[in-house]
Amino acid sequence: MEAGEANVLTVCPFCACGCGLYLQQVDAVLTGVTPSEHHPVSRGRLCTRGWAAHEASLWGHRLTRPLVRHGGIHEPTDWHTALRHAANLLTDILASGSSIGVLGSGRATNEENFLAVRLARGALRTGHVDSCTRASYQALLAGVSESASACNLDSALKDTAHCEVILLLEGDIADTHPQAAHAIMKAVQRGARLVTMGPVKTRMSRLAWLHLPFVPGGESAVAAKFASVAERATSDNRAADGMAANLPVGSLPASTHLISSAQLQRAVEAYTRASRAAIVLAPTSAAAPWLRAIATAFARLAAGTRQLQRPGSVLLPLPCRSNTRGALEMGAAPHCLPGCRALTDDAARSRLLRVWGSELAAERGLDIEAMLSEVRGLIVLADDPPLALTSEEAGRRALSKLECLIVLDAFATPTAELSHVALPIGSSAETDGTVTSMEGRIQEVRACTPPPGEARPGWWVLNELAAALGMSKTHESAQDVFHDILVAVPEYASAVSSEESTPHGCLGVLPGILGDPQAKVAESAGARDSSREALAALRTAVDGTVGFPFLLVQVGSFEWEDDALVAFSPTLSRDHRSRSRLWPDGYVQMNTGDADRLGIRDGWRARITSDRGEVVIPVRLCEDVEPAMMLVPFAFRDQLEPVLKCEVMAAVNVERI
Amino acid sequence: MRPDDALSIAREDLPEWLALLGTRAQMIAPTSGPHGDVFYSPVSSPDEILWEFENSLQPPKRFLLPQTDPLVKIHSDGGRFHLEPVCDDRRQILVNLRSCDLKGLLYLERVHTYDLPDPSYLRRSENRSLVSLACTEPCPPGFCICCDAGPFLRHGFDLQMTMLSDRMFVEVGSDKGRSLLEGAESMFRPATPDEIAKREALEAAARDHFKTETCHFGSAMRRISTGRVAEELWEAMGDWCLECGGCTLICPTCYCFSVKDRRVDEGWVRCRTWDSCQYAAFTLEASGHNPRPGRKDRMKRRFFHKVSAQYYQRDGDVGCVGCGRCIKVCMGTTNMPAVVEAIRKGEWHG
Amino acid sequence: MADLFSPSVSTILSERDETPDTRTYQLRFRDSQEHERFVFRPGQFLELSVFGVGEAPFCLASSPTRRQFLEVTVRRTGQVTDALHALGPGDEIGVRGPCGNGFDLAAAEGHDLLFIAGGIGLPPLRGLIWNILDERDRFGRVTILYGARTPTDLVYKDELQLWQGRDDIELFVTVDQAEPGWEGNVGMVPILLEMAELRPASTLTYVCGPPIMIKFVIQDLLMRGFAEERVISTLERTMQCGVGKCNHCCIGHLYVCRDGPVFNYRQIREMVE
Ligand SMILES: Cc1cc2nc3c(=O)[nH]c(=O)nc-3n(C[C@H](O)[C@H](O)[C@H](O)COP(=O)(O)OP(=O)(O)OC[C@H]3O[C@@H](n4cnc5c(N)ncnc54)[C@H](O)[C@@H]3O)c2cc1C
Ligand code: SF4
Ligand code: SF4
Ligand code: FES
Repeated sequence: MEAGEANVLTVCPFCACGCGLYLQQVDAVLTGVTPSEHHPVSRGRLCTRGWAAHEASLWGHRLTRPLVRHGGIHEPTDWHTALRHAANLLTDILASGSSIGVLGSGRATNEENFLAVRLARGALRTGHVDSCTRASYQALLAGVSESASACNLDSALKDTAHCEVILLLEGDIADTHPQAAHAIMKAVQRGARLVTMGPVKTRMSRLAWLHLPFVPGGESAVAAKFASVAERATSDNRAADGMAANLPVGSLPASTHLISSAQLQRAVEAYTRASRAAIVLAPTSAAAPWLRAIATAFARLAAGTRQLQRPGSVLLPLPCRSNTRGALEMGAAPHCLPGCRALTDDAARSRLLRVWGSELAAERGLDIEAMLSEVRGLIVLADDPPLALTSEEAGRRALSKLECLIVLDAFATPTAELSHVALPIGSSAETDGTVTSMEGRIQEVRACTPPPGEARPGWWVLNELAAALGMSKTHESAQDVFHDILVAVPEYASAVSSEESTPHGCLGVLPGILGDPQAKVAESAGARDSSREALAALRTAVDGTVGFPFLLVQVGSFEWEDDALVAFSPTLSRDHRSRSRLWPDGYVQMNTGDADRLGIRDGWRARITSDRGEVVIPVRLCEDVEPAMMLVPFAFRDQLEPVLKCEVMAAVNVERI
Repeated sequence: MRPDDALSIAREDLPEWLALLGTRAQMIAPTSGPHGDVFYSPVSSPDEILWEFENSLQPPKRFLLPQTDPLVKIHSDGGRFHLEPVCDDRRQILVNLRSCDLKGLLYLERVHTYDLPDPSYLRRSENRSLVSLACTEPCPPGFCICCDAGPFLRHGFDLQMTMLSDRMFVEVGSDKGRSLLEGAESMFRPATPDEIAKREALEAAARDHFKTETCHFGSAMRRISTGRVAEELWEAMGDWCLECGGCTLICPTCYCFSVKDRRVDEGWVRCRTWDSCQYAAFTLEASGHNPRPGRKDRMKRRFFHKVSAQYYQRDGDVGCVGCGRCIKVCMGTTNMPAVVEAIRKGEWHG
Repeated sequence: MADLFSPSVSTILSERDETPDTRTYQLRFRDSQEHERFVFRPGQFLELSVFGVGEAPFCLASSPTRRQFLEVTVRRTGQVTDALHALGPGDEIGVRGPCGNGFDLAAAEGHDLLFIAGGIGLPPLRGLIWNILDERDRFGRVTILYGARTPTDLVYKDELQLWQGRDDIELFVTVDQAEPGWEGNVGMVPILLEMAELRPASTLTYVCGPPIMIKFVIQDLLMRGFAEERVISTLERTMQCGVGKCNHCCIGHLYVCRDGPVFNYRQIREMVE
């Protein structure tokens, strides 16, 4: 790229809305962002993050040379040495009979993820491949696809803006998925009734017709309510019957003031009667089984009421990051092949054989959490995995114990600091490729500036690494990789060749995104029954007799603030820097009135006790938290570990100290 | 209009004149990007210049105030520091500016001259020539007429062009503008009375486009300046803002910034970067205290700066040129005309 | 200022710990001519930069009457202040300024002066106090009331001794919480108002400190008959440019970095956010 200036159309690297923006460079240095007025998703609008899409690449602490760890110290080296060293470490582990895992990323392109999966299943012959933000999204998808096989996502945002009733399960969608929040706001402006459902009142709740406090648990009661409404709403009862058979019909305890049955009924009836209605589901909790069950309940409501079949109605699960969906569709998951094909799908396997030029491991692998305790070697693509794990601290410990950690990233993340080999790749502003938005829009991202120093595009590095491990086929460009993707994933090919394909991308909607039946068994066996647990907690919370009168809930499954793209942006990191300086020990939030009664002031420390343990932690007061509830931001889950013990909820007692 | 300030040039001669200008300075003009969006960007040939276009979403502000603007280079050798201010001395001619955008640049020039002049801005603006293309067909979202920023300008431009059927009517607004005609005198001739009449008629027609539409800045200003906008109204409007900052970043008159050092090779460049008063952290203090904690407080700030009498007095204008961009970029619904109307009526419905 | 945003390189001559998180630095421009040329008023502030980290505003804590070096007292609270605390004698930093309006010394001439400071609020007043002490006969009686959370949190401990020993000023010090060995007053700053002899009619009062202290002290003063215009304070807002351009420090149409940071209470009361 020569001197001069250019505006390069690309896709916002942050959330999964898939907004279009131009990155601008002057003399090969990034200078700023311009929204794309003609982009079908964003139409000239960007959120705070989108407006700062150039910042992390420009201001961040970048990896600019391959680094190899010698005696605890990273030493810069050349590509050849670094790649050979990485390959040797990996082959030694394989030779010793231990296993290796690979992590794709919602921050990487489809091409990079596809090659990471090839590295795992093709070169290393392992099924241990996953990505950080997959679990919560997959849980929503699995729930949705169980009863709503044809969920039409392609113009979901546009349609949402014209719906009459919107049921929104959220943490704070104005922050997590602003473009979706905009669509909902537009609908409300046009007179739509918005029902927000979440653990705390949010910015969207202020525009809502109803706010229903919603915490993990209670899904069977919710499902039953949905079922009975759906039953009345439709003459064809099959959907409702199916639901009743699958989930125990219970009723909400009369004493709970959290989810009011009457309000839920109002919401669902409005939904049923609307001529077009939307359900938007954000991954509000790290409790995957709950997400899945609740998504199933919503999907059945949508199917049972026949809303789903109505043109313009929407059922939209939201992935966390720009390419969480793409990473999954490229096969960065332990239970499926690229294209969300079953491991046993012979046609899919033979297509992959063709494009990878090698046999592949079609066995089921471990998911990210299990991987970290099992594998001896790990390849991490563009991510800082502990940020999304059940425990960040335990995740970092596990990473530091690995025999071999190979990190491909543009940024010096804490994970890259721990690596044995760090391979510098281009950032989102320096990489060609494609990403797939929450609507399934496959869009091109384009390099605006060259990667700094010795850094190379991710696809190139993954190719070289595969070659060092004995894979013969290499690619000349990101497009070259995309051509392989088109062969491996027929839906992408038909999307690209479809008439609606435009410079702003095309829609590739996979037929019935593959659920993960095995995961359901594994998850529900591993976790306590979330609904029973929660109802018990709710009851004690209300009765107040058992000694644990508060319900402590961990909210969210991912937070932007620690992510490299935000942490390295001067504009985006300010709030967070200030928060972590002022609250180095974290905090929990509680209702102002409750705090008054206990004589606790804002910022004071309190002792929080559950049947599992206790902590002393600052409390921040908030009007918007429901009485008898206390919230733990996802970022502070480790601080609450003694009380939560890796669950997302606990009944607790609070004492002023 | 003095007679020698009104000229005209045959439309087929325009490319030659512009090509001549292109040899003296970098030419910045509206161009059509590869994906249908219009950009002001450097052009190497007059053929690339758009003459009929919907105004670009990104205003030409960035040629005077880039989103990332290097101010000082900092090197260190052995703990001793050397500083070198960054000077942008490139000559640029900005052509086919829309009236509102040119007015925006005048506003920026004033705020950077006011009180302590900012040499780094003023050096740039000295090196820029501003040539506007009057809006004979006002754009749909615009309300420039309410801000005295268009569709035609009376002053402030170096040159203002008006497209007549076969000729381009050119008004000279400054010495800098006159110098743009040097070497091309033979292509220009004084405007004929008929051409002047046509130009007047075009302006009248363009103004008629707006009919009786006005933005009622006056009554909003009276209320804002005296604190007579109900808190509840601000609060209600604040609920409809998603805090994207787009309204201010895209605004031709907004210039809030932060200063940050960026690592480059063996040193740093201290840069001024666009910031927005709509961001919560804009006023966040080291103690955690924030004097503008709520969305309503920040929205109040935006409109105080843009339409209070206090600022009007200081800057000589409202901080709005009626370009309508904040209508397009707003993630919420709280754009300038909507809020001004709500303030005037004392009610907000989203 | 030739260029609004270009700092001048200055050298840290020495540093002195005031409290566990507060330190005073003596600075001198690297270019001694520039040092000689630099003129300022007490109450004005500097934008200090740690190169590569950033800039932050700090008030000049030294008096214009003492020209060998400039002094600033810095409390650690974030990025720039952390980085400053990591530096020491011989290290170079950037200095831009002086910024802001400063105290109006001429207006104080002939008046009795009352200084009330809390915690880290003494530095902005210290420059003014030394200036006045160095030109002592231009002013009436000088009374200083100073309070901090604990004896450890008192800044300029040596100078407090020095002032205590002078007979042309009255100094009262208090702490919220005593520590072993503390024999002085215990209680919040307003208790000192009871001890000092106040003359509302002839006095200009300068109040600096944490916002909550300022609020209570000013209420108290007004009740005792001090006129709003004669109660003078400094405001703190987040700043970036220090020269009235970036809009970070605005309160209404006033710019704390240009119109302030020194305001009288009447102005402060009439401000609209
Ligand atoms: C006129 C004035 C005089 C001051 N005098 C002193 C002094 O003598 N001694 C002292 O210890 N402190 C003083 N402060 C406060 C000091 O400027 C802040 O503590 C400092 O900016 C914090 O910067 P940081 O980078 O360490 O903190 P961070 O929180 O990391 O700050 C990030 C940025 O925010 C801005 N910022 C944050 N808080 C403030 C604040 N309270 N005031 C201004 N800008 C802020 C700064 O631009 C800073 O670079 C003064 C502030 C002002 C406005
Ligand atoms: S809504 Fe999402 S995709 Fe759009 S600009 Fe914001 S972070 Fe980027
Ligand atoms: S553009 Fe709209 S949503 Fe964004 S900050 Fe401005 S008023 Fe708020
Ligand atoms: S600090 Fe920039 S305007 Fe005051």
